Amino acid sequence: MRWKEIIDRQWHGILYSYSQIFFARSSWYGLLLMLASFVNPVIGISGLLAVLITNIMADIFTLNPHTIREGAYGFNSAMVGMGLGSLFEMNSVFFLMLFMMSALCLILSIGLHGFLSKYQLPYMGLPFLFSMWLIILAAKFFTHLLPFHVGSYPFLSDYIFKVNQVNLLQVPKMAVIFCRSLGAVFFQSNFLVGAIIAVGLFLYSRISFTLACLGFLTAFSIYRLVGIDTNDLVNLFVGSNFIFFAIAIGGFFIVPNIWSYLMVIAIVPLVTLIHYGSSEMLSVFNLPAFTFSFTITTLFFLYALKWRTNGKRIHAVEWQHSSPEKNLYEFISSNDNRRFYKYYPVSLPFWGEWMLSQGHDGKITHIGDWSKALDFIILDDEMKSYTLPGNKVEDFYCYNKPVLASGDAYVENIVDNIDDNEIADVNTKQNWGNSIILNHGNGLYSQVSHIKKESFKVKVGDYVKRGEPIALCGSSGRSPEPHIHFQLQTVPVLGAKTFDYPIASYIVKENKKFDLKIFEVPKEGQTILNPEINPLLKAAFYFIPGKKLRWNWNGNIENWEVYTDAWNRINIWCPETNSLARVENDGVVFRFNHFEGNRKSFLYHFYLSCYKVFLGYYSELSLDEKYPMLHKTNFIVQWFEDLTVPFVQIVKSKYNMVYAFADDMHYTSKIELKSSSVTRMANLILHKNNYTILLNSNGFYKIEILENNKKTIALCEAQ
Amino acid sequence: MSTETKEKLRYERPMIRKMNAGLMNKFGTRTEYQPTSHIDTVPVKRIIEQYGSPCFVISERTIRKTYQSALRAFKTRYPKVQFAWSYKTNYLDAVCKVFHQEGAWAEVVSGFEYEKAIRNGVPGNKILFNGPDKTIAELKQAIENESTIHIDHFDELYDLIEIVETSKKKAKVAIRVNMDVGVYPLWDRFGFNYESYQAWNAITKIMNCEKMELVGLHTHIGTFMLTAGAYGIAASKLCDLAMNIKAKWNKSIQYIDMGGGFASTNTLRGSYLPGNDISPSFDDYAEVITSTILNYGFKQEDLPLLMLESGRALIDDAGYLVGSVLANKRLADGRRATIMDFGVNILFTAFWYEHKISPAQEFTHHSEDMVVYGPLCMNIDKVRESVNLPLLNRGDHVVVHKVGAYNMTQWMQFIAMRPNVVMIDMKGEVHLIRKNETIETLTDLESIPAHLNAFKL
Repeated sequence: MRWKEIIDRQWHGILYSYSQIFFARSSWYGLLLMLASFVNPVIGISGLLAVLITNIMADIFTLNPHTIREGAYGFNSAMVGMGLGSLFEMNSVFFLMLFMMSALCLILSIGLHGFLSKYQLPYMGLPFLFSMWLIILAAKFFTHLLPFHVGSYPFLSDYIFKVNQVNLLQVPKMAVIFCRSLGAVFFQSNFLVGAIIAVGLFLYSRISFTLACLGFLTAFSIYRLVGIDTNDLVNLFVGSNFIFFAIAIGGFFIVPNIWSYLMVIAIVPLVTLIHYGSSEMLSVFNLPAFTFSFTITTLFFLYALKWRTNGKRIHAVEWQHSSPEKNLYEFISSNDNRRFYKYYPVSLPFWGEWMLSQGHDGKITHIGDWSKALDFIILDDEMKSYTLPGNKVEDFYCYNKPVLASGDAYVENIVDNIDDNEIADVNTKQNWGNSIILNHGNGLYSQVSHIKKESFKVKVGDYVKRGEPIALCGSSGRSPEPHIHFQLQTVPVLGAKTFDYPIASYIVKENKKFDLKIFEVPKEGQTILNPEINPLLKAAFYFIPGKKLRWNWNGNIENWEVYTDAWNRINIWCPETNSLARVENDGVVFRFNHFEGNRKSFLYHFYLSCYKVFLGYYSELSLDEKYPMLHKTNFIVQWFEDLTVPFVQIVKSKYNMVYAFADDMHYTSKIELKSSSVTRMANLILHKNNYTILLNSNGFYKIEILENNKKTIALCEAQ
Repeated sequence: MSTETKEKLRYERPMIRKMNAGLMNKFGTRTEYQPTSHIDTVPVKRIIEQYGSPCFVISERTIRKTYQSALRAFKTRYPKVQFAWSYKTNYLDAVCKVFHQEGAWAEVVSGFEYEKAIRNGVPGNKILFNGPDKTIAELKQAIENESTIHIDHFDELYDLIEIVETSKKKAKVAIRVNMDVGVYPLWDRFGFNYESYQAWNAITKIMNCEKMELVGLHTHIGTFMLTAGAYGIAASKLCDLAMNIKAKWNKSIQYIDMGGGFASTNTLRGSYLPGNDISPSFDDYAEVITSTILNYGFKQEDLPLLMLESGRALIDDAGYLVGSVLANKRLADGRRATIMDFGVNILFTAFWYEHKISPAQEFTHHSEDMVVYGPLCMNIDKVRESVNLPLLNRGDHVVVHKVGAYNMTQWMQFIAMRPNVVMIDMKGEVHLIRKNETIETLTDLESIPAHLNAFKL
């Protein structure tokens, strides 16, 4: 068992190491690349040996098996190995060097990973760069290490010469240069190697391929413009700098979109400058610049992104799927999911419907350092905040109403010695009035101000739960009329700078219609309330590990089992169809975030029909969401979409759920939800499913599926 | 007013009046009366022209506004609140439906009201079936419809225990609890007594019956409660029962029903201060009830739903009675008397309230203490015993305020027929919601034995 594991790990480690060079995680592409490197068998063997040595060494040192399997340690070695093979003749010293260089690569990978991960940056090809420079400089003194020359391998020279001249297809010159510069990554600047890499790249990722072309073409144009010989692109790691850079910034580390493409076009000239500048500097030591310009530019660019104050347009990939397509589709489909991981859930600090009288960047007092605060009042149907005469605090609807804890927290500080103002008067000396600061942990604090004197139900040091009443609304401090001032901040100081932070979930009520908002900031003038969770929905969609569900779908039985994996993810597993769906539930929203397996299973229909479910019941509430890549109908449509989707999404799969019926809002025993999944290409409906989900007091009761006008019914037989 | 022509100066019969002491001023003594010429922008005159006099007028806008302010008072203080419309207060379908549109359930106290709620489209499980009078058939129907039965007495409980033995469905029940809340009179005729452990006894019987589910605890401490504090005592006693149920059977009660009894702003007969000044507001009741429950020590997730069955306070303000002056006369003791075309037959609440009456047209500044009589040929038919009103002439119109509660359910067909009831909707359109009765309304129900058909006089 243990050996089987090790072999599996090493095997994938090798393949993934090769594919990692081209920002991919694929065994078939890795195999293809490995084979491509064997166009020159010497270079191929040398590269493969280096990967093996590094990965086996990593296994012996008991480094993270997952990282080894991913090829994260091996890809630098592969390149170093191929480099060595192309520079030196194979003899006993060579193999000693290969061993040492592989070790060096591993050490540098670990060290640089440790160093750069503090800045959340990848180490990319840095170990390769340093190792290659070191060996080139050191080689002078190793007289037994013989430089490679045409006559090194007599039996090969004829073959190599022929391979280098391969140009059977009479392809245009630009394509030849493109392929040769790709081949140069494997220290074999010939068309054949490059063509294999390019075709493989296209098959693996359409976006990577188009980006590679974009980077190359931009560089080609710049060369023409500034007057550099375009033939220089085929040289060792010249053209590949631009190709790598384009893939990295255009779609791998950044979610591909029009802006990332434009960024590639804008920065490639700079990469050119850095390349030739650094080449000249390094030439003092007779060192080639290799991928220096690409690596440095990418690192600084990624680092610079983190200093932005506004995260629009360019989005760094937060969870690397090692494929621009996957990164993009995931990004498009799961806005809420990402926010769910990013934010601590903060709820509204009150019961009932309140109106946001002053929002973020309000005109009255939410200015400057205090701009990201929220003020709440209660209005009646005539939009008045008080009953007549309205000249004392008691006339105001919100006065004396409970203020709730916005999240689980320790009470950090309380100010409770300031009297309420007369209406319209403000106390600018004690601006915040009576206030409470809650410590939600991890550097997040919330402050509620203008509280009624001596109304606190908690004391400093208490632990409060989300939604627990902590005080009463008042009008102390700079408060011309009673209201709740609510802000989030990063320090436990009264009146600290406000922190732009969303509310985890809330309901906006407009014209008696309800709309659910998830991780958004309420807008001024909106009437909002905390979502009320429905116990029936909450219980039905709570997939506790060990829970079993048995479905009968037109006679087909599926027995689902729920389990958690090592990453704490909750999976629903269907052994009959060998399918798995991954779910997430934050107590307010249930959502699927992954499906794999048989798309003809009922589990897949369940995934489609309950893709996102709000666990409260509000009549006629409607939820919309986009599915990730659903339309696996045929690969031509899929590939066509991959090419266009960074700019415009033509094929869209949309999910909608409507809360159709509940027998009782408070103690529900019957609920009917209607959902649909529609895949469209422009206006053409490619696929449409309608679902009716019926729940009763036991949980799921049945799901009706209407697919292509054919109705099927799945009954939940046990749960 | 622009469309209406200004009336010419009104004639008033000369009279001799006792001089009232007070500071002299050049304007003489004035009244603070304002005419109520319009109800929700609709001229009273037009209503009477179209629908006759007298006529009940209900303002949809006021119903919704009052409901929302009541709901707001509770919902901003407590997370789970539900109102159930007390049918007996006003069960005109149009009125009930406005409340149902606003989200209120139905609270009924008889088979007739239950049927009305079902006809109105209220789902069975959103009807609370109260009251001491429920037949076996009605109980069975309620169980079938999954309505909650508020048990009033042991005999009913025993009936239920018998019924559920053969019924397929479990009965959803609550018990009505009566208790001492420090006010007089003690309403101990309904439900089970708290202090004597009668309520606990009933709860135990229900909990031991497998086919009954105890979902709620209900109390209704009185009517026109002028002290909000009593509700605090009532709430804490119900919470005590809920806590004990949790402790003994580990069962969380779904709801606590505080009933109704909230006072409207009408002035009770004999009250020294006007109702406006002494009646607690929804906020006052809400504050006491919610803070009692919140502070009682329930776990956040175990907080029971707060059910309310307020009737009077939700509808009183929305009802008006428009009528006309039939005659003026002097009584033997010199007092002025005004005879209206409506009396206690349709304005039943005149027995309890000192209703505010406003003229519906301009008047002179003179006013006089007077008796307002109804049209009945009965001595008890007094709308107001003594009220200071501007001088009204024959044919003048008046508006009686805050008559929405109980009048349209307790009115009598006595001597005269029941008049039209109209509702003014949110846009100011007037809709007839109950046609006036005619002689056929009564005679259709009658039958005459054949031998009585012919007579000669």
